[in-house]
Amino acid sequence: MTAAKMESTPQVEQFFRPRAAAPRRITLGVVGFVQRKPLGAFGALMLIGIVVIGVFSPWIARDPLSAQHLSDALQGPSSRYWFGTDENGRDLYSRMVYACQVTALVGIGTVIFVSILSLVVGVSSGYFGGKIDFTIQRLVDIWLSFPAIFLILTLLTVLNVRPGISGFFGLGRGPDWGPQPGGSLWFWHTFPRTTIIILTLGVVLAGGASRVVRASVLATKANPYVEAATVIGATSTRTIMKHIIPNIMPTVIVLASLQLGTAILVEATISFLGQGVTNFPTWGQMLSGQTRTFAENHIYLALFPGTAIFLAVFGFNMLGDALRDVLDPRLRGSR
Amino acid sequence: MTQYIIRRLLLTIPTLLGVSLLVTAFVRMLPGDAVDILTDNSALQNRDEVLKTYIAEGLAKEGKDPLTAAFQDKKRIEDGLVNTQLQKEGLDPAAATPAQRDAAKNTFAFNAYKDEIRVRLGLDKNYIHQWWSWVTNAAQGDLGVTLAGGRPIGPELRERIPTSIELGLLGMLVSVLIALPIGVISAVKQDGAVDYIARSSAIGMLAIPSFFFATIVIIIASRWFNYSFPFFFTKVWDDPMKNLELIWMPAVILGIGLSGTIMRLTRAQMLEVLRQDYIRTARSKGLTDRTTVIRHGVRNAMIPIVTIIGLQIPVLVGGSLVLEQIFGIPGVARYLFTAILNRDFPVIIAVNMVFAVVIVFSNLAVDLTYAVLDPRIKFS
Repeated sequence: MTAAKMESTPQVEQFFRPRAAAPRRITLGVVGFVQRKPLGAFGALMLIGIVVIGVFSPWIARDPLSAQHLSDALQGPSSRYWFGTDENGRDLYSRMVYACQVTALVGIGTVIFVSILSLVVGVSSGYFGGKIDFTIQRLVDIWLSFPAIFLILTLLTVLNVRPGISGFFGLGRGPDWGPQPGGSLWFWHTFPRTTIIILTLGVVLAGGASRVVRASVLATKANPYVEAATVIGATSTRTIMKHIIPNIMPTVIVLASLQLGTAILVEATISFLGQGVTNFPTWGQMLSGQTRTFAENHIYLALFPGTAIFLAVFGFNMLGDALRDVLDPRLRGSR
Repeated sequence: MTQYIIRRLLLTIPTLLGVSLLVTAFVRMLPGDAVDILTDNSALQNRDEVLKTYIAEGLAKEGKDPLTAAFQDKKRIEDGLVNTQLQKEGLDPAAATPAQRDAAKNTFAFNAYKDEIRVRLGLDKNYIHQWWSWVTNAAQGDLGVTLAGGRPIGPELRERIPTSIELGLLGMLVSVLIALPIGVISAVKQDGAVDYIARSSAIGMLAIPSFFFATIVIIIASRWFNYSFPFFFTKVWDDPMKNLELIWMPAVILGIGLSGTIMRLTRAQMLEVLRQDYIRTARSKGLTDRTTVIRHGVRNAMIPIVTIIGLQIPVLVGGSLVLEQIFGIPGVARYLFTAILNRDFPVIIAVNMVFAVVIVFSNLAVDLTYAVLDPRIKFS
């Protein structure tokens, strides 16, 4: 059937109008998003910025990772040290640039892990229903009965590497070899050290997310096309892969973008408590311990990393909100 | 309804048992148990004491009295112990240097001492056994003693719980006082400048890390107002004013962190309620905007808001850890944090259980409140 044979209503014309070519469509979509949701676009920019700064950190930073200038300790921001120096004479700007690696890895890694885990739990609970659903939901009850921060701290102590102890299956040690651009550790050093945090945060955040996924699966399952697929003999696997998952993807994407901010905030908090990535700078760590006593007289020491965390989390939450409005208005007000 | 309550109450039992079992499993997985941390420095000081008991045991086996036994006998038994240890390490006892023999003696005493403590603390049993003995004791109201120091946990918790509750309630109060009015105004003036600012600042409040906020507050207070928060905590029934002087700031910070969520939900709920028919009826009846919003709008929007406030309790518990740590408030969260660092297994499981009970029952209370406030909801 072609458009010419049909009665020409505006809807039909709309339906049959040839879609713009892919690159142009994407450009149009991006421009529209920026115009309608400027703060969401700011969040997207923050995300891209942190990833780019993280990837190119050895070239963007002004000092090698472990460089100390003890005679210049606790200097305020200047043209040599843009964000000043800490009590050990390390350039705060360079350290914050390196810390982007941890932020980017933990944020993105956690979000991917949470999405996969909550999809597996939520879909199997929501789709199969009955006894399976009941059992899984009781387990999720237990999962959610732990206060998140303590589950995280306990898991981290279980899994984390401390001096003299090899940790959980040697995870989280990471290689000490490989090229060091600019005399600095790069992603292959940072990534294994953040895996423990990614796994922990993922497990903790996935509990709540799986509930949302389950609700979404239940709503999708009630649609006639799922019933139709079952009637014509589609297997469960096929129905889930072809009908359920594509339809709940918007929910998953929105959840993921909202959890990006949470993950980074929690990572900063555990770093502040001294339980995060060790032997590598992170934003939360820069506000903890000794530095806080020095910050009393050198406020920039607290101000720069704190503002960085704030801006990142603020931007990602805005991005999540904007994506939710665009992709999945049903979720509005769920947080 | 009664049936529903009973079923929910029965369901809490497996949940709580599951939580306690999981906590036990986690804690047993911790690399290096409490004994390793407890005996870090003290074990070698007790070397001679430990060896003496083992030598006495060996002498008794040979039928000799340890008090009157000859020095050669004691030396022979000690050498035997050291030789076994050397063999365990894969060294030849005959060829070992004096330094190696001394090291083996230390290792032997160290391990023996630690095993002795493990037996005394009941850590030599498998963890299912430990878990069950904990559950049976806890059911009788005995939470056990700390591994480090042997102080009873029950009284310690009774000291700390009121402090945590005080901080949590004050934080909740602050957050509701901030969130409700702004949320309602933001909904009434939807898409206006006020709404936009309120929404952005709500996300801002979610985004600001409490430890950063607290640090900045302390710095500003000391630099520009020449004021420092009290170093020592006073219990609320000893001196309420002194107690409040320390606790008001953490409560405000906690409340601000929470208010973002509540404000957003209030706005969303109000928007939904304001679109309902009965609001239009109230308006057409000739009620003023103010009466309509407050009497017909807010009261109906309150139902889900109450539940969300109840669901913030776990967030409160977690959020208070950082603030207790920074302001030096002896609350439950800090107790658990120290316990995790010390691998103090009975404390970790006890405090986690307290939190789990609070969370499970607050969820139940939220569901029941929901039913009471909204007669349309029926549980079966």
